[in-house]
Amino acid sequence: MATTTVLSNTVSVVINSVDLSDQVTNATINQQFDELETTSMGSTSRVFVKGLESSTITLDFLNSYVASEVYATLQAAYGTSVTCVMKPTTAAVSATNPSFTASILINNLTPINGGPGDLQTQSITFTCTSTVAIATS
Amino acid sequence: MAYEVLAGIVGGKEVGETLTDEDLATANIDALIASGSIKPITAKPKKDEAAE
Repeated sequence: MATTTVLSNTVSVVINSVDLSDQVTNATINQQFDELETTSMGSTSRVFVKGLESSTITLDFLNSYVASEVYATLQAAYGTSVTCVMKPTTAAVSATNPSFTASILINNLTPINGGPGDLQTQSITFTCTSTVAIATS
Repeated sequence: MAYEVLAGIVGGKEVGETLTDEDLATANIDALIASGSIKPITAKPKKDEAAE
């Protein structure tokens, strides 16, 4: 039985061309589209068709305030849409290491978060303002 | 326009390396400059031009 398991510790996250992989502790792409109801007289169940894509990307960050890291990169892009590229591993894009690219709206940040003795972290869900494009080469 | 990477890894390039507009085609360059990630490389004027 062929089974492939993939560790998540090599996920690559690049936001606005800046590699933030070493400051991300969790990464999730939630691909989804709106459901438009087309149920009509005579239907025996609810009927839906695909609407517009409305995907989200959730990232947990270790807060870092130096240049080119989490705070500087996200704060400078706050209020704008920037490109986010994610891959299962840092290796080149291929059929077994696809890249997921989307435009994300930087509309919420948590630049200060934590109590005494805690690591400063933030978990942010970004709304995609494009489809999630998947490339294999 | 060319840009020098000042910190981190930007567009796959490391500190001190150079990026072009083409490398940053999908990026918000103003935000990258504001975050201290890159800086524009401005060509120094030649000596004779500077003297004029």
